[in-house]
Amino acid sequence: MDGEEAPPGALNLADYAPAGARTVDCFRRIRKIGEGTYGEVFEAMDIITGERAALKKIKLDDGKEGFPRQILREIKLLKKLDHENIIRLKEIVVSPGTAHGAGGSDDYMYRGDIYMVFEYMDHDLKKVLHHSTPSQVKYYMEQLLKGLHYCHVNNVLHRDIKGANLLISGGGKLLKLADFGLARPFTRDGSFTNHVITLWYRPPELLLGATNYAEAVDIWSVGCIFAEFLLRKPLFPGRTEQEQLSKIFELCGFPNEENWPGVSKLPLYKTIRPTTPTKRRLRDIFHNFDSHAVDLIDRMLILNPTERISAHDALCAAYFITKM
Amino acid sequence: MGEGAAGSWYVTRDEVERGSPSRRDGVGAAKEAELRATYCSFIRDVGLRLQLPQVTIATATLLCHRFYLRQSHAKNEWQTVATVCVFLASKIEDTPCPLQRVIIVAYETMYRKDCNAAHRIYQKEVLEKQKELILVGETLLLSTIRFDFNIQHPYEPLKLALKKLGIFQMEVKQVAVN
Repeated sequence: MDGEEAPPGALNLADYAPAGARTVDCFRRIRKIGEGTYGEVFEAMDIITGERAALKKIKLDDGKEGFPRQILREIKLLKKLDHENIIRLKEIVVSPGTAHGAGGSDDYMYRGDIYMVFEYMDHDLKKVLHHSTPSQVKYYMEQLLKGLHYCHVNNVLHRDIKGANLLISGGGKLLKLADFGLARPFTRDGSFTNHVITLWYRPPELLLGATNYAEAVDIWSVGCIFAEFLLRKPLFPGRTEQEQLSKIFELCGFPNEENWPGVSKLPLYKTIRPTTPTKRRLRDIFHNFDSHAVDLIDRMLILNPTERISAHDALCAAYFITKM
Repeated sequence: MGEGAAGSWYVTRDEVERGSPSRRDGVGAAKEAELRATYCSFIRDVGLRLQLPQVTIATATLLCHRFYLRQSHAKNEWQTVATVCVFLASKIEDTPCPLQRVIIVAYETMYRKDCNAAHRIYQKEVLEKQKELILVGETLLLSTIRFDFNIQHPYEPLKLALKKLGIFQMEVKQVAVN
């Protein structure tokens, strides 16, 4: 080495910067846990500390534009969020890329794999959603709302609250929000895509095409989960967006300028029509349940997003104050 | 993810001048300073040609500084690294630029005094190879900086301060931002 500049196109893929990311060799793979929206998830053990972790492999293969922007955004968000009810991103590890050949036409380069390392959690909420005791439900709901409140205070919308994205650990004692793959920072006057949130948990404003929305979208999803806990079956299991809206209106009533000022200006409002003038009868399907729980569900599933209860107010509701 | 002592981005001038990875490979402090100035102006030129905002250019520059804090100039060609930095910064700052455009503009900037050489990038084979190189470089950059790309720029506080002081002249603002 003569101390001169590197030759054209040179990248040092052989030596790893000592303070850089660790390699995936630091983990022993135990089993495949699942298949996320953008890659496989493995249970693994840190060889040095013996700590268990969940490794999420980031799919790069279709990435003509390199590392996906949405994952850059997710990493940025997760590094900022620090709360006991939000999944912790411990680190990111890589398997090093390699460059084969020395400039010939058969050169081929391997970009390497990237894994997000999360703390290990036992299972997701979906598994217990249909058989939890009332006191467990209260415990889960409180933690879910605390985690979500923290997100909202930090101007982050989760945008995909559902059973599979809520993880449980500690013998069913601890709940954490996970999968921030659709999450994003929000501003009051922003305009966002309305193609978010799994259909059954998607709020009416998104189904009606709103692009300027806020925290209330997550609260609707929480309300659907809360109801599902009690009913032990999904509240609005629609198969199409159209059917999803019908199921919502059937229980929550039909939206109009009176109960939801501005609703008639939403892009898809004109495409819907009430079959019969429906009145809100959401409470009727919960006649055998704790009235504080039903009160709270009722306030989470208000059609008009500006009237829907906030995570903060929900935590102050009578439901959480009364002992059970 | 807490940044330990080894992971801190704050280093003294002495640490850089005496102990940078480039130094270990025999690149002198003066040479490294010169290279630093060169890649800074290169990133700025490419950024301006791509009409990227100042924040994105600043992020790209910072990514490049961070890279060479942990990697050597003797083993990593700065033109390649700087191009990777512009590409990644454009995504981080939500001002995305298609890879192909970044590569073509960077190549033309590199060979601006040699039209024939600059034109080579329009050959499919050269372009495809360059794309692959930049994508490998992106992974290398990300792992070298340990995926730490939460970068705070002084621009927002500066804007607020100028507003507070009642300074609205465009010239003053421009000087302050630069």
